[in-house]
Amino acid sequence: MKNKRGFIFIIPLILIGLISCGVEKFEPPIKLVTPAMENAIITNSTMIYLTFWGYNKESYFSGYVIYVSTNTNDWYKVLNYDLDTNKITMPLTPNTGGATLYKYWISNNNYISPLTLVSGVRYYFYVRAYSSQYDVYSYPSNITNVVYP
Amino acid sequence: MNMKRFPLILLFTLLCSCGIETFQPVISLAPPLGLKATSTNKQILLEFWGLNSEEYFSGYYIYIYVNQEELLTKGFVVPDNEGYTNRPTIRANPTTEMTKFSKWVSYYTNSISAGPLQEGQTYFFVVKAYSDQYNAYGDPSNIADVVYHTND
Repeated sequence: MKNKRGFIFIIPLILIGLISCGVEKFEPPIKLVTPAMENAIITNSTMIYLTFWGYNKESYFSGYVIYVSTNTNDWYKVLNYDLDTNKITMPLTPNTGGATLYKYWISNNNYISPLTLVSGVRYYFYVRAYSSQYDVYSYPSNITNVVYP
Repeated sequence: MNMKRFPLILLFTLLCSCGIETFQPVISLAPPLGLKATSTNKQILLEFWGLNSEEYFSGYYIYIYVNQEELLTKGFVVPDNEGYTNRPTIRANPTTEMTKFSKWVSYYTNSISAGPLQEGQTYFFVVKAYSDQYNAYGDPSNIADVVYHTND
């Protein structure tokens, strides 16, 4: 009987111990390094060439999502090279090799749908890192822009 | 074993296994990015982007050296605006917006003395975020280099 009372006391103690240790709600800190836009330039008068810096070594990093706008209010995702709307702009694996300059070409209207490339229009771009595992984005990068010729 | 002591031993074991006796927060400072170096007006202009939202973030250390391979191990701290090298080159507060930082470099400051930048010399630079609170550094930025010319 004495032993039974002892175990009744021990079980709540274990529960309190686990709860106070945070074991019941453990969550890793999810934080993605924010990329930095470098430049947007026009090449061959037909393509927009984007460059940005990134250093995302987080194990849950999935790639970058680039956004485009003509007025900085309405933003649209730039499509990936497969033009697959279910994919992010640049699917990538974690980078442990240091700060890296990434490049992306926008060669025609398909990549910025529903927008279109129009001569004389200024296009704005920014980028965010993304984790599909946690459906989490980094903070947005700075914005860069270019006038389409 | 005395049953009265058993719960205490159990609790102690539990707390130890939970790591409470060695609790350490995860210290992670985002690296600054897009470092550029330009020789102009008889100085070198450094520019980079930083977004450090960590509440323990204190600023950026900039390092200079004349050899890229040894920059990360032997680089000298670029002094802050008051000439100190034992504190961050640029003081900054945590922010959630990507921010552009700049720093003019006029001297090559090693651990002993400060001398003028040398004509035709290539200088290499790197930046790291820093936390006073934990005396911790973030990963290095990209490395930027520039050839210094007095007539630029």
